[in-house]
Amino acid sequence: MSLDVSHVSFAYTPGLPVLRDVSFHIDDGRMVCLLGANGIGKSTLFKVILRLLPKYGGQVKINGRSTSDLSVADMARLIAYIPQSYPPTFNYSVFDMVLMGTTAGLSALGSPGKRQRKIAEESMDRLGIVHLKDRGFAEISGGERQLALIARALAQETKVLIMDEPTANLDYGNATRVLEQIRQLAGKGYTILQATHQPDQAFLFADEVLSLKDGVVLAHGSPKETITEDFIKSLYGVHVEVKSLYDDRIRVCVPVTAIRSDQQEAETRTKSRNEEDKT
Amino acid sequence: MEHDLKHKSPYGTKILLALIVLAVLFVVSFLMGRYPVQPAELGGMLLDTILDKLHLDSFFHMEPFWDKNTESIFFNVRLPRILLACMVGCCISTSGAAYQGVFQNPMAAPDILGASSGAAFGAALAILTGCTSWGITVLAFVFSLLTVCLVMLVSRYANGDKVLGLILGGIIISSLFSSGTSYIKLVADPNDELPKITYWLMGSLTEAKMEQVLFALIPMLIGIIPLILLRWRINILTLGDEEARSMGVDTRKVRALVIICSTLITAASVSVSGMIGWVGLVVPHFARRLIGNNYMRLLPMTMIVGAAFLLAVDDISRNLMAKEIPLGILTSLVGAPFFIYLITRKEARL
Repeated sequence: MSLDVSHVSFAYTPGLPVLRDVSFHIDDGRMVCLLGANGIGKSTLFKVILRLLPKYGGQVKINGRSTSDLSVADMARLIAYIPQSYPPTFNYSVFDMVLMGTTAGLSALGSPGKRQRKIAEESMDRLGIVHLKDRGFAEISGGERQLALIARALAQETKVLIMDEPTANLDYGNATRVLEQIRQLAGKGYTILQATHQPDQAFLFADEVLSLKDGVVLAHGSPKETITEDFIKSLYGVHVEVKSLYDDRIRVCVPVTAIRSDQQEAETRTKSRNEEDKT
Repeated sequence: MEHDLKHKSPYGTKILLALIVLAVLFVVSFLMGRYPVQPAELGGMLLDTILDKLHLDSFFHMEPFWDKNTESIFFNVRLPRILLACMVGCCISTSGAAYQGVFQNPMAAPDILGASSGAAFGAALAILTGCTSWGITVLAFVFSLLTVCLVMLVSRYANGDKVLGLILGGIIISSLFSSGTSYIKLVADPNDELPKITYWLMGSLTEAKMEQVLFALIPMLIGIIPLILLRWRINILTLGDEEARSMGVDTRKVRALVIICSTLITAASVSVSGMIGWVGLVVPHFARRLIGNNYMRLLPMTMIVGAAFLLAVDDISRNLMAKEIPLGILTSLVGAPFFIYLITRKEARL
């Protein structure tokens, strides 16, 4: 399913808009990374798309259909949200947590039955976490929790997934595993919009990069075309060098300060050695 | 299929066991008291009443082998009291569990929105103006509902987090009504009205009558049936508003409905029993320990455990000493050590 956002604006305080005029289009089955500095409105944009905020300007369309007159349940049948992993207030079993995803498909007073249990089990299977079924959601690791939350979104049976920094609190190994799973989902027809703080992740895993600045879209395109040294500079205010590896199959960003201090160190070392030689 | 059965059976067994405990306690409670009733008499009286109600007594008539006094105590004192203990225990525990869910707060209790303080004020006012026990019940009920309505009204205008607004509104309006109650105690006649108010505030089922059972039954049923139907959705409300909405639950509507139903059953309970603290907090936590946090199973378990718990405490209250100990005192006495246990256990997550 495609996702269309046109001329979206929003302000928590009147006169101080967080989003001024945001428009973009995401095609079916694309994996898109949303980049932007802290507090720039990434989460706000997600809330607008998920229709969690009361009043906003502009329009959001899913598969060409405007979402403004959909009920909460209808909305949840089109688009699923995957929050950052967190320890829960009440400790549910991982299976119950995933099963909650099936609620959107139930009648107003319904509760999950055999069909829903099967859906939940299948979504856990797809992410390889069936063995966590009976464990407490509070007792598993952050990475496992994140996978469980993704499984819950799959159990919701939508084709559009919105993820708010799914790897924010994860260690390197867990983050890589989670991103690998997300990339596989994108290959299976899910349209994914994911906020991230790591441009390198966009290089590795994304089809497209979308970036926000000053309440508008700063850039939107393929990672290689979009993520340049100037782009990172204007987005985060840091100097990086974009390096290409393995015949340009992969690119990485390296902060210039790190390179410089290394060079400076080397230079001072040679200088002092030269002086020693002179004396 | 086999897996399904394996998954379900422990919960089913646990609930069945709890039901058996409740049933045994129910029967034993009839036999206990200052005027002992023999098991045979209990069976005879029950059978006779049932036959009578079904108009079968012409076919099968039983000669009463019990005396009229026993029968009168049984039907006018013990039966309503036992029924009321079960109903009140069930309802305040259920409402505690429901509030904990919708407020995403394990420390929530039925009085979080001021239902108890409102009822206390209503009862105190009724005693001050010389109402009958019937009047006390009605006024307590009305003020309990009124308080929660006020809280919801205040929270509507509160900025920011809706849940926080409700909790703060509860604290504000509660303290308002508490000061009202204090004032009534101050001006009440210290020889007659004041002890009566104090006694009511401590909670008791001493004056339980059949009319009160019937009075409480209707709002309790109206409140508890939707809660049972909504119990799966309460799970999702515990995840917070944004997540719950993104999963297709209209949080505003569902939360309002759960709050209204919980308030109704709390008000009905408090108005017939007075203030009974701790049950609504401790029983849901005990049930969570027994069967987990999933409301599909937690709510039925809470209902059964709540009924059994209050029935047991009430049995103690009327049998332990010559003069009855008010229920509220006993529930706190049992509740406090239990809560210490809950917060000190290893896997505590409060």
